[in-house]
Amino acid sequence: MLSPFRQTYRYLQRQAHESPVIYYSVLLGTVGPVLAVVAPSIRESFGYKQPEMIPTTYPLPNRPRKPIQGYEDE
Amino acid sequence: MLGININKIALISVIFNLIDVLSVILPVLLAVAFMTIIERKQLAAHQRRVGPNTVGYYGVLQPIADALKLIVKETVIPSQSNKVLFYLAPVSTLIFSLLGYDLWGIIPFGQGLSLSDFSLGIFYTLALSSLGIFGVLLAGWSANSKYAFLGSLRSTSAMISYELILSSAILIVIILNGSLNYITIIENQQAIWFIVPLLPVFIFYFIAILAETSRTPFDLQEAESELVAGFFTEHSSVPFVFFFLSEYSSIILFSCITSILFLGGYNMPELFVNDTFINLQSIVLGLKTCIICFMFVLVRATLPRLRYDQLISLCWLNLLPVAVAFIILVPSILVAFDIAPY
Repeated sequence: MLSPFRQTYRYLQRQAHESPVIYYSVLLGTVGPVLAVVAPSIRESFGYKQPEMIPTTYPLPNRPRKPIQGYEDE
Repeated sequence: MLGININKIALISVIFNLIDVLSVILPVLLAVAFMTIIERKQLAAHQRRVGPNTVGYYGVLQPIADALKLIVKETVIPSQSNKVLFYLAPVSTLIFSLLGYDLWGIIPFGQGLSLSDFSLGIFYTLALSSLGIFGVLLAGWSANSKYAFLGSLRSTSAMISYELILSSAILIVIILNGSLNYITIIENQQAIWFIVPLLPVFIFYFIAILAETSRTPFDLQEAESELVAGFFTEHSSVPFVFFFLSEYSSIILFSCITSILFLGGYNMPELFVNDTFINLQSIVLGLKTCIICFMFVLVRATLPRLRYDQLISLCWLNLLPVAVAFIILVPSILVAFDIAPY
């Protein structure tokens, strides 16, 4: 029953011996995207919250707009 | 009246620009000259010899004597060579390395101490450093000699291959910074120098710059006595000096760029505001550059040459997969821990 897993394990072991550079490069390269998917949810479970976005505009004033009359520079 | 004033102002600004550029170029040219004597002295120390010690005190004036000797020699041109290209090759190599000196114009020697704060600094560096290949190709082809031609083919393929690794390593630094500007990269290293988090990247970056400057253990294209000097086999006297100069200037330039990208440039812990006339930040950058130059010579004194197939397979089969893995890993970590600078 365990033979497919054993086969895979043997294959990986063999690759790690025969072409270590490719093997560990692929390993390192796959760790990255996996980390990008898994790490945020784990951090959230530890209570980490996303910081507020840095404001890039001034806040809108909490009052009705003043009607404009004439030209301002007159 | 007004026209004369404007002309005067333009003239003065041209003169000041010239002084600006000369104040950067002259020390660099001197550094290139003395890099040769430093290398010979250091190699001698590694091999328990004295090294050049006759010309000037401790042999300090040796590079000047060498240059004089080479300039006075006769220029031999092969009879069936393409003479225009034969002269154009070393000249173009030197011009591109002089553009490299232009590159010194965008290197910051201290806070606010660069000729130009160029926002695409690293792109500019990479673009100019790849132009040097044309000189090598032209030199090999125009000499009408099979040795020079084979040497130039070998040099070109090695330089193009390792440029890939070099650009990959620099790309990782760019990803980490979110900027192509040298000053931004240096200021981002105030907390920690990039050599610490990016040590594996630094290692393959250093291998790439060794190959890019055709230094030992990757200098088999021009292995001095064994392969009749590679692509500049037929070049003698002044054209040879041009190749020689461009080689050493690229060593110093790459050392400087390495110290900016990985060793924090002009930054040094505990060295903040300095009210004296001595610009300590420039001295710090110079010292870091010297350390990398020392490593260049140390590698030359230590390692034997590779075979050509080993050189190419090291690049494409070993270094490239690792570089690609890091190009994926580094931005993934930045996204995963929400620390991307952009």
